[in-house]
Amino acid sequence: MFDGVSAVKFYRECLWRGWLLRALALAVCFGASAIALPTAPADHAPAEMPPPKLIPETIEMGAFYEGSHVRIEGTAPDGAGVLVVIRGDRKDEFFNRKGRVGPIWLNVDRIHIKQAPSVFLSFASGDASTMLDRASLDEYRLDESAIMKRIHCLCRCKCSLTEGTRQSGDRDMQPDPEYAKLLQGDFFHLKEREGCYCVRPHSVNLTASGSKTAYALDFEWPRMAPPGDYQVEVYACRGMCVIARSAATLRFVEVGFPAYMASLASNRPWAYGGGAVLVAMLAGFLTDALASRLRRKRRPRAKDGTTAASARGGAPEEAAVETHEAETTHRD
Amino acid sequence: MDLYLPVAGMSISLFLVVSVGGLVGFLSGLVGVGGGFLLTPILMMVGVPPTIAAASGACALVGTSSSGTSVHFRLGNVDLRLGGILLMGGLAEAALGVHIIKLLRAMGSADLVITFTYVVMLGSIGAFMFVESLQSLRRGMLGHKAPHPVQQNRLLSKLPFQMNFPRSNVRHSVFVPFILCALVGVLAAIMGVGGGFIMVPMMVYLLRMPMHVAVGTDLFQILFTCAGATLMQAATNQTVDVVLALLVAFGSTVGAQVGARMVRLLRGEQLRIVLASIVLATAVKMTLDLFIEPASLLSSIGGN
Repeated sequence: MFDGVSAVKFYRECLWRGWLLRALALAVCFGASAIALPTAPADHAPAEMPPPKLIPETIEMGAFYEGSHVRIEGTAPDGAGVLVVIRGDRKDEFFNRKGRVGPIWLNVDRIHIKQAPSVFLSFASGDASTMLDRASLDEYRLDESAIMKRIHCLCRCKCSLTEGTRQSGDRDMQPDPEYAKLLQGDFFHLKEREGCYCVRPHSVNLTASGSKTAYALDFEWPRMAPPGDYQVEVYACRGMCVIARSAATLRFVEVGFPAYMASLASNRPWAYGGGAVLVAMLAGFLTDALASRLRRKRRPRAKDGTTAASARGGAPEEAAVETHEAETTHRD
Repeated sequence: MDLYLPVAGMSISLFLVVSVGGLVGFLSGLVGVGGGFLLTPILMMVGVPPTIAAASGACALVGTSSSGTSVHFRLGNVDLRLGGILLMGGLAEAALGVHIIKLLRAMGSADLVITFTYVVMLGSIGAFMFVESLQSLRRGMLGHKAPHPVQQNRLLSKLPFQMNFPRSNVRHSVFVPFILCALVGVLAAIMGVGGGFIMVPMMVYLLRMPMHVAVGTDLFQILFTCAGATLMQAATNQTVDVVLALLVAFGSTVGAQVGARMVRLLRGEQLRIVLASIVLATAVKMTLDLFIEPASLLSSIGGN
């Protein structure tokens, strides 16, 4: 039953199966390591920090909202510099751009800014350019230069600054690189003037807190910021790179009467417009009615039919006004 | 004290907005200028976004002009018949004005034409009114009899469909106020303003209407024009901030009452000098704006 040939065959089969099992085990190990490797912490990947504490977490805009003071605080790894960035939703905006035509300034172009953040506030414990290298600043979009690079502009006028030529069109087109840079700068500075964009070095206070560094930032919320959710990102930097980061959401919402009016204006615009006209008209007529009633009380008509002004020897024009008023009042 | 503007999405000082309204309303009641060309820039100066300033300004002017119209109506200064024809002319110009602007934009010279039209029109009307009013005042002071203001233009009197306008004490062809309003409307559409500051001088010098009636009738027309503009802006662009408009309207209605009272205390020539000064000041400011580099080269594209 079990002769020599069979024994050799059995031995060979076992050998073959052994190799097969070893190859399979090796493949499993290789696959597992391939999956595990990308999730393993790399040298430059930032660690997670505790999320920042926002005071207040929600800014509510009621009828008497007079602006809000915001405080952001938390802890970062010991010895790290801190950058705090607040971003609003991205949206498209359209502008006219003035340019010099001979000696005069006229609108020469129509600019379409695509997907720029509505708000960009960057605060740092030092100078951002000395805390991080250019690659990191660009990667995390942390300063003016990094944001300007991401602002995508379209224009209606093909301007070449080097050649000094200008050619208008009726469709959006890609601007020349130098012109695009100029437009990005103009946009950033406009937003800075509105208070929606700012870059403030040395505005984050750092204090030692045991084995950590405590950071705190105080600022006034921009008045022109639109309602919405804002992303607050905190970056801890050391050795010109980001070593840890955290994020939180700051809500900026309308409440009460403003919320009702804003929703009415966007959801039922015809009713809102009609109501606005009616209310404005009523306000005008009521003010007039109130004013004329007050005037009538102040100037009682004399018994003999002369007006108060003529009775007291007032100017003929004044008397004429009063007579005219009295006549029209009588007619009414 | 600040108030939050729900559509503009910003807070603003209550006192500041009411004061702006009061100033514009006073001028509106005094000289019949709708205030569009003053209100929008002033609101922009205090930080309101241009689109919101233009649309809410129109809504506020509804309040101002209704108050002013009401006073002028009681004083017998509103020529309803003429005002109705002017309104119809205004409707006709709306379509024409839009097409002319489209044509100019296609030619690529819209902004140049608009700006120069503005400066030339304002400058010439303002200068003419100022000089003429000054001469009238001097004649009055020296005891010379001023020429009668109601004098028919011979050419205009030969046109068909003559109609009496008893309130204005003039007789004109129906076409004259209709075409005049359409032309002024086109200019106003090109220049992007209500047109009251062109309309009043035209009524006085071309239609030979008394200044007081021209002011009252113009306010009557502005009331309807601004009501239509507010409705359209609210429906299409959602840029009417009713809180801002009511604050401005509150200030401006009070201001308009004071202005309308002042009308009877001032002589026609004096009123014309006030209007001429405002028009000239605007022309000078626009001329300066042409040559001085703006603080920001970008301006948001608005609805007005």
